[in-house]
Order: sequence, then structure tokens, then C-alpha cells
Amino acid sequence: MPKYETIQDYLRAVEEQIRWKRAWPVLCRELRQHMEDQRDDFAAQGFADAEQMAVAEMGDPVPVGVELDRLHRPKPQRGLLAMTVVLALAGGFLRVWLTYSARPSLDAFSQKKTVLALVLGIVVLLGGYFLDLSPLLRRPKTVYTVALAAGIFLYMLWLISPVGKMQYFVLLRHIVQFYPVVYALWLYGWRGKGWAGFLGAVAGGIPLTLVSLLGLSAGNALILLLSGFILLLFAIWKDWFRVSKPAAIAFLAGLAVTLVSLILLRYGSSQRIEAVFHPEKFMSASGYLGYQGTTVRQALAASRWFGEGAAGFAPYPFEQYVPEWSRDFLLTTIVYKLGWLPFMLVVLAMTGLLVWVVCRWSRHQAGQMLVLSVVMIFSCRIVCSVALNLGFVLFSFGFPLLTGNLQSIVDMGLLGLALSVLRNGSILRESSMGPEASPHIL
Amino acid sequence: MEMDKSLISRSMVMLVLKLLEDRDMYGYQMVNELRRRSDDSFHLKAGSLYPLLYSLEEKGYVTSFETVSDDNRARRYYHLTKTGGKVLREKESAWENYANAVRRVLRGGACCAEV
Repeated sequence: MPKYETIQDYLRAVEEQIRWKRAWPVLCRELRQHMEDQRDDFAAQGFADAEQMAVAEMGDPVPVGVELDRLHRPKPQRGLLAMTVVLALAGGFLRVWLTYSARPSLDAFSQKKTVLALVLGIVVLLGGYFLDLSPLLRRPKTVYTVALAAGIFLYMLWLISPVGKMQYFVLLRHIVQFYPVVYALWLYGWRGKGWAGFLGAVAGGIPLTLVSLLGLSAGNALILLLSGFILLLFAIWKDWFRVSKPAAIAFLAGLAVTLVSLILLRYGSSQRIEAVFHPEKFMSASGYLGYQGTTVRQALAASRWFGEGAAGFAPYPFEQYVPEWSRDFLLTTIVYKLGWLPFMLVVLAMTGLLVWVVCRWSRHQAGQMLVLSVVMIFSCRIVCSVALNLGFVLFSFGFPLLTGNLQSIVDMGLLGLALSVLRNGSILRESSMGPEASPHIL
Repeated sequence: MEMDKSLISRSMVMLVLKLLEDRDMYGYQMVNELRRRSDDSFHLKAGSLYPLLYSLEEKGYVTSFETVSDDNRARRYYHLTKTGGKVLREKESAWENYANAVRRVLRGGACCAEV
């Protein structure tokens, strides 16, 4: 074995054995800390060649590097990538095909734009997949601040800009869809900081929710709130804040009750709730929900298991009768034009993708939190979108990888992030938690 | 007396998990603690310890987090998970059975062994 004189020499020899360069700083950091501790101990005992002795204590760096190389390899997620691309392509095809008859109206999806969106979506998916998330995990509060500032900035642009207002608005509505992931990072930044950390983590959700509401998207705000609560519960369960679990859960329960009461006060008039379950009673009322819910239910009632539904269920053709039939109600369109079986296949395929992601669950807590945030976003959207398309109209939700070109790009970006976590899981190790991190440290 | 290395390496998972049973520790601390508890018999090389810790983390037996110690140095601490605790109890039990069996053989058979 060649003689290694310095800590740097030793680490270089270890690094030479590890093929995954992204893992070098993560793995060598701990070895360096170990050798520095040993060196200082030897120096305190009066040895002049303390560093050399510390290096000698480590043993041969080559087998160490070989073993670390074996343990730390990127875990390719080709199957999940392929399934995401196939579902996105299928979604794009369905968007164009099902709305083709509506040309040249705005309801029809342009073939060129859809192809462009799919290409961009694949680029974004791969970009997310190959992204190194470690810098984001090291600076969660910076990510949070930038994301919040971006949302507020877009809102301001939307307010003051005389031209192109809608672009800013649309961009804002899509940017805020990343907020549950941003919130997961925010929670991660408060680990080990006790009750102050817990309260800081909870408080961080308020500005994000408000900016989501600025985009006039109660649906996005609702997904953020639901995801936020689940993420907080997960963090408490994993003992991230080192606080009493029952007390923290009781606090969250109190907060949830308060929030639900506020939401019910704002949106929950008995008439509105009744319109969700019995829209036909409000068909001609001033609100739009009754009309949407009724037309959707009528279309569904005329649908078959396979093939196009019965014509003449309404005074006008389907496309003129069901509002938003090519956007948020595209699932309803699938049921009516293709049948219940294709609809179930679409829903099951997307659910299957999510289940597959969950089955690949990261071993590392940072990774778990990020994957959970993405899974929550998609789960909420699947459930709410299916409910909406079955005629329970309350908030507007698009089905993942199906509804809208820009929306599909955002969906692929989110999935890319989740797959990146699964690919890089072994080096997504936790960063500093602060000196009060653990009561177990004596 | 220096121990047989193969004996140590076969029990290393159990020993490392045992060290973490009472408190979270960082790698250098584990090496020293193992040496202290074994009355200087177990000299664990750091080069063997870290790959082992990473594999335990991958299996979910331990989790790790970095924190700043009293001497103002960042260190990565390891924490025994519930799964790790369960594995430790299984390994301890298997080890007890094995050690008792070896002891009985060395003392001349089941009829003569003191258990």
C-alpha cells in the first residue's frame, strides 16, 4: 500500500475509486471530519506527526473507496421515466384527438403546440431528473424566499402590466403548483429547532397559501394546505422538530379545525354545498356550479361502457353543452366520447404511476419529504379532478398529464424532481440540524 | 490481546447497533467507544466503519443527521431506528444462542455445561 502522508492524499485516493463524482463531497466530508478528530487527539497527546498517524489509522483507502463506490451509485429510474413519457404522450394525443372536431375554435388543441409542449415537457422531465438537489437541500430558506418572491413578482406584473396580463397570471397559477415542494424544503430547514422550529415551519405555509390565492386559484391553495398538513404530520412522526408529538399534533388539529371553519365561512354557504351534491336544483340559478354539475351529470348518464355516448341527451351537441369540455372536464369528455372503460384506464394508469413512485420510497428523510410533496400534489389532483368530472363541482382541477399543454409541462417537471430524488437518494443526506438537534446526544 | 478479526467483522453490525442503542453517536466516537467498552480489544478501522454505516442507513436500521458539537465542529450523528432496534434484539438473541452453544461444546457437552 502506498504511503499517504496527508488527509488530502488519503481522500484523493478514496475519491479515485468512486465513479459517481456527485457523491465525492458527501462521502469524503465525513471521512475528513473523522481524520481531523483523530489528528487533534494525537496532537493533544504530544505527537508531532499527528496527521500522518491519523491517516495511518484509517487503513488502506482503496478498499474503502471500492466499498463506497459499490454502495453509492445513481439508481436509474428508466421504468418510471418511460411510463411518465408514455402517459404524457397519451395525454397529448387524447387532448388533440378529442378536441379535433372543435377546430378552428379555441377549444381545440393545436397539434403543433401540443407536440411542442410534449417536447418541452420531456426536456423539463429530464432536467428535473438529472438535477442535483443537494444545493437546494443546503439552502431551503433561500429556495422558499425565491419561490415566494417569484409568485409576488408575477402577481405585481399582472396587476401593473397593461399588455400581456394573462401570461403573467397563467404563469403565476402554474408556478404556485410547485409550492408544496417548496414547503417540503422549508420544513426541512427547520429540523431540530424545537418548538420555535415547529412554529416557524407552520408559519411558512401562510405566505405560500396567500400567494396561491393571489393567483385566484382556490384549488392550488387547497392542495397546498392539504399537502402542508400531511407533510407536517410526517415531519412530526419522524421527530424532525424534537417536540412532544401529541402536543404538536393537537396544535395541528386545532389549526385544521380553524382553517376548515374559515373556509366553510368563506365558501361553504349551504346553497353552495348543496349545489355540489344536487347541482340540478341550481341549474338556472345565477351561480355557474349548478349548471356545470348538471350538464356533466347528464353527459355521464348518456355515456356507455365503451364507445360514444347516446346523442340527444341535451338540446345542443356535447361540445356546446358541457362547459370547459376540452380543459378541466376532459375526463368527462373521455367518458362521453370513448366510454367508462377508457376513463378508468386513464385514471388507473396515472394512479399506477404514483403507486410505483411510492414503492420506490427513498430511505433518506429529505428525499422522503420531497417525494411525498409531489405524491400529495398528484393524489389531490387525481381525486379532485375525478370528483369534478363526475359532477361534484366545487373547485377547478385538471387531471395530471392530460389537461392542458402548459399544465403537462409543469406535471413533468414535478415528476422529474421526484425521480431525481429516487435516482440520487443515497447522497441526499441530511445537512446541519443545529446544536440542539437531538436529545440523544450526550 | 488482539481479537480474531473475522470474529469481529461478523459481529460488527450488532456491535455498531448496540453502540447506538443508548445515544446518537458520530463515527469517531463509535470507534473510541467500542475500544473502551471492549477493554481495548476491538480496534475498528474507520475505513470499515463508514461503508458499514452507509449500508445500515440504506437498510433503514439507522438514520443520520449533521449537527455542530460542543467543540463547534460539524459532525454526522447516527440514530438507531425502530427497525434497527428490532434487528439488534434479533442479533443479540442469535448471538446469545450461538455463544451458549459454543460454550457448552467447549465445556464438554450439554450435560456438563453451565448455562
